[in-house]
Amino acid sequence: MKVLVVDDSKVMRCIVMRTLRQAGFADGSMEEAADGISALKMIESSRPDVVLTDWNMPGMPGIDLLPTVRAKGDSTRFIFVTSEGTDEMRDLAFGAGANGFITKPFTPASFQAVLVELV
Amino acid sequence: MSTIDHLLEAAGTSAAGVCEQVLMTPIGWTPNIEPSLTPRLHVSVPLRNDQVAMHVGLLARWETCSYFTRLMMNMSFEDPLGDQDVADGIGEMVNMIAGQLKTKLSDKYPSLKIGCPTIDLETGSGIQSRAETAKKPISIGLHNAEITVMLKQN
Repeated sequence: MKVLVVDDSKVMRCIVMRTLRQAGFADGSMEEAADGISALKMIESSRPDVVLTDWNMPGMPGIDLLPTVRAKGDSTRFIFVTSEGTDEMRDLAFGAGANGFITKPFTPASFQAVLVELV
Repeated sequence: MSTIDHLLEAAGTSAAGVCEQVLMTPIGWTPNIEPSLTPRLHVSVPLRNDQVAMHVGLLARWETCSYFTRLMMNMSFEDPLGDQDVADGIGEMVNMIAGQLKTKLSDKYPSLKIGCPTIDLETGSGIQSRAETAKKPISIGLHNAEITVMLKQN
């Protein structure tokens, strides 16, 4: 499985990738992007299987990145990894076409619960 | 219980959850902590809606922020850690506390928007003077810090 991790925080990208490995998703490749614009280019060039994206990012937030990708007819699976876990945010995410939603702080089990259904 | 005390309690519970899951270390509650001989950092995140503006934050020495970041990144103490990584890590930690707090307060304060973390020295420059403020001392391992909340009703 090829995963793209999108977060403006280098520390958080590191934690997400470590947790992915702990959750048993270490066999594929992992790439990272620090903002939505870079992520958009990498989605087009690398064709990841899953995008794990933060919600709040400067430039293009995750919630703007997803509809931009969908508007191109791209159905890459999108999972939001965000510190805000209200029902309102979940509704917004799934309404925009997200395939999963993980709230920070997370555990390997949080990733397994969402990713096992998608891969 | 006053609004600010309720908010501080919710912030403390949020911080405890984040520390246990991200730092893998339980939080300790202490009645007070020794005054710091070196200036501390105040890392805070704003939450606001049309009713209120509040900040949740963490007051801690740089060494403590560095310690928390190393725990978050599962780094040993020999591994190099840049200042930017410490700022990034501690900002993310407070951001997670703010996210948990937003969820806990969603009934009383719906649709709170979370802003970006800011880091100030402990001069109070990040806390508006007319707001109510409260602090709660905590300990994590051998390190001490304080959870802070600031509330300003619109």
